[in-house]
Amino acid sequence: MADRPKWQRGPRACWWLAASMAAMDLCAAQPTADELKNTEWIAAGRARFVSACAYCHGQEGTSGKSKSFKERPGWDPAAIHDVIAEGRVRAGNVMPAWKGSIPDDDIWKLVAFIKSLTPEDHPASN
Amino acid sequence: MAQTHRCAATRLVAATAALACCGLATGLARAAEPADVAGDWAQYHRDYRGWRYSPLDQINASNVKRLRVAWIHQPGDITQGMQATPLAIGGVLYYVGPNNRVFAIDGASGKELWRYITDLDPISGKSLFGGYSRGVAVGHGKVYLGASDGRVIALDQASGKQLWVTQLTDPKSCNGCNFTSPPTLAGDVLIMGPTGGDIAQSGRIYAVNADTGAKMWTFETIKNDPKSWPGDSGKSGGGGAWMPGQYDPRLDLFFIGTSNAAPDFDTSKRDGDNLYTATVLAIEPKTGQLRWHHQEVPQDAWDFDSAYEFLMIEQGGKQVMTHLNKGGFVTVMDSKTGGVENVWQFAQNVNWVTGVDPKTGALIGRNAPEIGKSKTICPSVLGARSWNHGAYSPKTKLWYSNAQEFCEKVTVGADNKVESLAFSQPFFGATELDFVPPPGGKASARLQAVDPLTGMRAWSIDYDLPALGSTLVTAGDLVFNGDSRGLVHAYEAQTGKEVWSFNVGSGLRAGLMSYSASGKQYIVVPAGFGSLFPGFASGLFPDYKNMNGGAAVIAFTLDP
Repeated sequence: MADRPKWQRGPRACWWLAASMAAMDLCAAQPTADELKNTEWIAAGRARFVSACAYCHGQEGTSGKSKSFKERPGWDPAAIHDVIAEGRVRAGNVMPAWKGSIPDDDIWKLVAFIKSLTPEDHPASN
Repeated sequence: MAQTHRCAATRLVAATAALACCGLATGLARAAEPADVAGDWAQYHRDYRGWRYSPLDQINASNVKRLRVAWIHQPGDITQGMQATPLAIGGVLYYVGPNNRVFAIDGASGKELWRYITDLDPISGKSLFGGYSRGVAVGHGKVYLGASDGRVIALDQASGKQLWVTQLTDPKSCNGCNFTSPPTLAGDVLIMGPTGGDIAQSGRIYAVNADTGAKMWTFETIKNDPKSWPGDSGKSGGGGAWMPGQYDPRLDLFFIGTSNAAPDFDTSKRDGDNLYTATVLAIEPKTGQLRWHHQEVPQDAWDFDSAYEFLMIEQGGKQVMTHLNKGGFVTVMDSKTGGVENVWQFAQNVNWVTGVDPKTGALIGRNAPEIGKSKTICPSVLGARSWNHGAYSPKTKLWYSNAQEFCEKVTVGADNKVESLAFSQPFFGATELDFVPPPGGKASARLQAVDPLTGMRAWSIDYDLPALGSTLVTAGDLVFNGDSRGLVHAYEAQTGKEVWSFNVGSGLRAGLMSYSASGKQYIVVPAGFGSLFPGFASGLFPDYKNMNGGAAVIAFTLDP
């Protein structure tokens, strides 16, 4: 298991399930709060965000039809992950589901970057 | 370290289920110039000239204040708002609403005659440009829709029953390329181009037999020439043609402008002219042969596609057409040959070039984005104007168009790989992309009336937000323009004096039009804010965040 990222290590049954679903990009274990502050993850998430998300959200989440990502203290990482993965239709606005297109660990890196935009949550990175 | 594992019930169900399962037509007639029925709006721009001019004059400056709502029709879906220009033929309106819902409406009463709810492939919801359409085409007793899942669909004009379907693009294999604009009828040939320059695909233009849907020809907007596209760069070079073309029956030519090259900002792996991206094409509709072309932006590095409308007018007995490129220059071309007659600057803030040669159209003093270096480029990827069209009056000889002034900060990424892209992810090739005011100035917007051949301005009205709807001008000497807040304005065409306004409740992204039924002139406002633009630009224009969505076709007529 050493070749797997640390956050993917877990009880055998759940790992089996996660590994099965990984091929379908359906599920991955949620990283810890500390892991979401990993600067490499944040950098990788930022790179993906600028290229994949800026069209609708601006390069730092201040655009779009939603509240600025810089004003979201305490934003639940799992909720962010799920919206990216599953997409959302809200009134006339559509966010496509990125599940199956962006690997799940990369979605978590997007979550890490988005969380880093809120100073209260990531004082060091801001 | 503590680990948290969250596998939602829905995922378990999905995972369990997954684990458990583990002819070309011949003899096509050249189209005659169609009769102009004053009360109709039979094509996307009303006619092939791209004027968006209604010859109806019942409504004018002296009575416009008597405009009242005659009827409202709602498509029942507001996804991405209303983006279409309705058509009107013989007193019946045809329009497409969100998610490709097509309707026929009695123009006198507003009564729905039929509806066709397109059963879209779910891939539409994953496409960058999914779920919306700018209109339908009507002819041969059929209503034609270019669908959000890559199909072209023909409906019976009288009943709305589906007659034939032809799958033209495969969105799964072209990163979501699909149709967001109406096809163009060129006699018996139906022609359409797909989205889009911003995705990693190799763009094409398609033609089918308008009666049967049989495929006729395909034009590759990525030229098969290593001097244009070295190596494999053309396979993900963008192109396509996402706006409607225009068919000139006098010349028997189909004109269309193509999308930008991809990756949008990174030219390092496409060291060539990148034909035929950012190019005006004149194509023979029966064969797909290229008659002439004029590339407005060779090796585009700014996302300045050539997608916008052509304005066809006569100048000294010569047929010319004017064309606004997203980069903020209007080229005046000889319609027969593509020869450049003039180039004038539409945008006030331009620094991506120092100029464009008015005799040849050649770019002068390119200022391209660079790898690893932040630069401010004007105008931005959202252009000197968005795709919302202008209108031209043969009475005033003025072109009425919205315009916007803002720039972008952009840095090109060092190594942009197609393999790392998600499905339908924009292939920008940028590590920084942010909208900013022009250097030393402020972001602004305006509606302006100009001579389309020279750019000489007759009048201009400031708007606090870029207006994203297409304008309308009428023989009643009125210019109608809808803003992003939902106010529809009427101005005197000669002076720009505002003579009427009405709040329809949601902003305009669609095309205003006019028609007549039972002896009455109607002004149609397809209301409902949407599209990608307002969200993309709301960092610079925060008021866009607060705009109401919606979708409704609202017809106005004079009080008796």
